[in-house]
Amino acid sequence: MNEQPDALHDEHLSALYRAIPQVEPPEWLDRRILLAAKATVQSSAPRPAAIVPKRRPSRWAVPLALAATVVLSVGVVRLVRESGELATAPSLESAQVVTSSASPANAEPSGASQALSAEEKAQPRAAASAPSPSAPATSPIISPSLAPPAPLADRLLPAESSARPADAKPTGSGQPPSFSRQMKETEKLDEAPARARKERSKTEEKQLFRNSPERWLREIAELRRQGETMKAEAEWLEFKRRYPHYPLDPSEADSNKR
Amino acid sequence: MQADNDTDETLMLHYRDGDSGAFARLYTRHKGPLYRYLLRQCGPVVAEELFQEVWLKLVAARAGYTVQAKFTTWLYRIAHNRLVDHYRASARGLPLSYADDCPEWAHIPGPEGAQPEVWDDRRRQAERLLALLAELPEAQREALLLKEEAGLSLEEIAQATGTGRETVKSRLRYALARLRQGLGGAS
Repeated sequence: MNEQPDALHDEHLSALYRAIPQVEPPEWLDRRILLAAKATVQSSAPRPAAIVPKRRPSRWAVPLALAATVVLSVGVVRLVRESGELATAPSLESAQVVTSSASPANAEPSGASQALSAEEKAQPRAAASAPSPSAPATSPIISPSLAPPAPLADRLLPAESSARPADAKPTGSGQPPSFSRQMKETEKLDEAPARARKERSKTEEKQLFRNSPERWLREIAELRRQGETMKAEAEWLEFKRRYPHYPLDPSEADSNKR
Repeated sequence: MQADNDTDETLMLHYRDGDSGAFARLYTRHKGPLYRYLLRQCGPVVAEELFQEVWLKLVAARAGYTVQAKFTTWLYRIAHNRLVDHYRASARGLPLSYADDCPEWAHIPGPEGAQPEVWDDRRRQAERLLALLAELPEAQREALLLKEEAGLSLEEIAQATGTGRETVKSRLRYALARLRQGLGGAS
C-alpha cells in the first residue's frame, strides 16, 4: 500500500480512453441474447392447469397396461390349460362323433356311452365328463354361475363347448380355425386304432375257428358253397398242413379233393 | 453510471424470480463495457462469440443465483474464464503475461520510433491509445480494461481475474507506464 494513487490512475489516460468511440455489440446479438433470456424464464415458469389433463393418460398408462397384461395372461393360460385337457381325452370326442354318424336316429347320450370301448369306459374322468340327457355338460373347472357369457366362453373354452350335445360336431362353424384343425388331427389319431382293432378282430376270429378242426372244415365247406373255390382250396391246404392226421369224413374228403 | 436505482444484484434477483425485464435492464447497463473488454483483446469475431457465451452462461446460472459478490465482478469473472479458455484453445496457448511473476514486465519494449509523433487532436491520441493498448501484454491490457471499462477496483479486478491484489497493481502500473511512454507523456 505504499503505492501512490497516481501510479495506478492517470486521469489524462482515462479521459483519453473514454474519448475512443464506444463500440456496442451488434443488434442481432442483443436480440439473440435477450430472446434466450426470455425463453429461459418462460420455459421454467410453472405449467398452466390446462396442460395437466394431457399428462393424465401417461400417468394411467402404466397401471392400465399392467391390468391389460394380467387379463390377457389369465385368458391365455386358461386357454392353454383347456387345450391341454382336450389333448389328453381325444377318444371321448371321437367316440361321440362316431356314435352320432353311425346311428343318427339314435342320438341318445346313452347310445354314445354304449359305443365306448371297454378301455375307454375304464377311464373314469372321460365317463364323468360325458354328457347326460338331463343336464348339459359343465366343466369341472368353471361352474355355470362363474362361467362367462356364451360367445366369450366359446372363444376361451372350446373344449367345453365341444362337449355340449348340441355342439357335438367336430368342426363347428363357431370354432376358431386352430381348434378345428386340432379336432381333425385328434380324429385322425383315433381312426388308426379303430382300423387296427377291426383288423385284429378279424384275425382273432380266423384264429378261433382254425383252433377247432370241425369248425374250420365247416368254414371251408361254406366257402365252397359260396363259390369261393380258391379261398376254400387255400384254407383246405392250410388245414391239411395243420392237421395232417385228422380223420376226415369220406364225403368231406372227396369234396375237398375236388 | 446507472440510470435507475436498482442495483445490479437486485435486478439479477428479479430475473432469477422470473422478471425478464430485469435482465434486459442489466444487459443494457453492461453490454457495451463487456463487449469492448472482449473486443479489445481478441478481435470482433471472437469477441462476439465470447460475448454471447458469457451472457448465455449467466442466463443458465439464473436459477441458482445468490448475492455472494458484486454482480460486475461475477460477470467479468465469467468473461475472464472464457477469455482464458479461448487463449488456451488457440495455437498460441495462454499468454506468458498471465504468469504472476512474468519476467517481461520489467523489460517493456518501447513503442516503435524513439520520438512519438505529436498528436494534435484528441481523436488521434485516442486512436494511438488503442494501438498502444493492443500492444500491451494480455494480462496488463485486461487489468486496464477491467478498470476503465468495468470500473472495477483493485480487489474486484483481483477477484475477477482470480489473481492477487499485488499482481493486479503490478499489471496496472506497468500498463500505465507503457501507455504514457507511448503517448509521449512522463511515466
